[in-house]
Amino acid sequence: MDCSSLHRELRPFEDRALLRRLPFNWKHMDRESDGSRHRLRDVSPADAATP
Amino acid sequence: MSRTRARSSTPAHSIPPGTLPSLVVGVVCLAAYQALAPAVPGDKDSGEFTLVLATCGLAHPTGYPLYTLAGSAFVRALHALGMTWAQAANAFSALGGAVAMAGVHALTARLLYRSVPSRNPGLFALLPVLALALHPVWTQEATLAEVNSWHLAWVMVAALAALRLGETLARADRAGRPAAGAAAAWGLVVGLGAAHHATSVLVSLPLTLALLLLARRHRRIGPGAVVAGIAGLASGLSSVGYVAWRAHHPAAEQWPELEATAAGILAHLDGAQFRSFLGRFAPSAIQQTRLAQWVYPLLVPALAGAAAAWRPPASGATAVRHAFGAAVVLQTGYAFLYGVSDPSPYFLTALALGLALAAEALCSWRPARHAAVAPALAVALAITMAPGLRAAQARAEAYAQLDDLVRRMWGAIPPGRAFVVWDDDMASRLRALQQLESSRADLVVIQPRHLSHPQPRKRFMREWGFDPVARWPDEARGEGAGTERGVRLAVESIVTTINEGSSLPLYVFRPDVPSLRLIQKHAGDSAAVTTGIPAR
Repeated sequence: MDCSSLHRELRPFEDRALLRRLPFNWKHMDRESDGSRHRLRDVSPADAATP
Repeated sequence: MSRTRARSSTPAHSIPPGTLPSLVVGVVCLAAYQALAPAVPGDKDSGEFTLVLATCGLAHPTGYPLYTLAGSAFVRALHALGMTWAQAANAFSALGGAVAMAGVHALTARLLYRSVPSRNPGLFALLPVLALALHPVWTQEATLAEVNSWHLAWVMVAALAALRLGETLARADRAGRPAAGAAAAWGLVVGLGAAHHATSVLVSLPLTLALLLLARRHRRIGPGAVVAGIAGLASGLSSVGYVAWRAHHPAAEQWPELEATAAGILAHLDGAQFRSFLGRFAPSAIQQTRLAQWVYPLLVPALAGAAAAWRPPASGATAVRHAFGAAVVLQTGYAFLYGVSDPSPYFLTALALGLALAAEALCSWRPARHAAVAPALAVALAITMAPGLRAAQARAEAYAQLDDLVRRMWGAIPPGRAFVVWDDDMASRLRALQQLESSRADLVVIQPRHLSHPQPRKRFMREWGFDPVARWPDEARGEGAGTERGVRLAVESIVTTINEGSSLPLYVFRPDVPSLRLIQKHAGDSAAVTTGIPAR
């Protein structure tokens, strides 16, 4: 299955050239190794299928 | 009585430290923090706190009711005067930061007042302020909507109150008279601290023990004092009732896991969800760098100050100072045993108290009494910490850029009702756009991992008629639960389930890529569908 057919990237908000001129500097952010940040770290439901 | 004891119980300087120099420190810091504060929310919990203050909502555990009630009134007043919500919320932290720095100066000056003479007591009192005022970890708290600037402000007020009450309890002319007023005042201080931040106990516990020791030594404890202390404590803690009230009267912005039961309210107040962090130290890579560059170098003199606080004599007059030392050690130990990815703010209390003690110890050290020592240290600290100013400016600029990017991405979402999934605490920024700027109320903002918890899950099922975690992946169960891969797969399964369970479009919102993706509706292989979520 071609995964690219399953989503569509929307970029009307920005073009890459402008993004390069306005790079957001993530070094100022407290991020996890994957770039995210979650106050709630755990995902819990042992009873996932039976609420 | 030894000569040392005589010195420690008698003010070395004839004029007690006044409040004006500390007020000047506070005003200068307020101006600086206000100038350095961005006009937008920052990272981490800043977006959530901004929205909570603007709407008088309820934040994540432990709820921070005192911060919310006082801050909400403050923020609404500034907003009425023309500030944006984010500017007003950041200004509340700036005010807390200014109070804290004024308190650091006042505490150091009063410790020095009890110390040996020096030619430059005023300059020595400024040293901890110079070390901390522009410290990058501190300015993050003092220029953005966060709770820690007010926590340090409370620590300083509590320390000053303990010093004052300690002296009151030790007054010979009042020996044997129960100190009901002092007990009530201290109970109030402890209660206010506990209502604001749970870690206040690391400071209030040793200080309370020191005051009890003094009260017992001078026969100033009686039933009246105990009752007054408990009444003061209850009064200070009264704002926690707000959490219970909110549990039954939900605000638009409220921690979604809060359950409207006694057990749920207690779990929120005691931070039960975060207990799993206790017992380890797990700073992120960027935090490790920040700790090594900015925190550890100051932690060394702070801990030395704590050690020096226990120098003889162990008399009643110095019991409060000994408690300051204990608080530095307790707070440092806690910071090293709380396994969040961003532990640096938890060192601030230890740094502030420890550096105040270190300045006092240094001033007491004979070789340091040379006239050139204090000015030289002040200049060295100012030069060393000056890059903190640029760091705070750069951070504010970066947040403004991020806010611009988030707004453009939000504005790019096609018209019509849809789900917008942002698996990050900064999703609160999108809710802020909806609630504070009346923007795109038709969009449903989702933080997927919250939906794996009972209350948000139940609400989602009530509203949308299907279970968002119905297709929980096997890899996220058992040993896979909590692993990076397990969590990622679980989040992807929630996104896929929502996308396929509803006819509404679903967009994955990722400013860090940056990427805004419409996930196609598809009845096929769900695992393949989830790969539409871009890798971080």
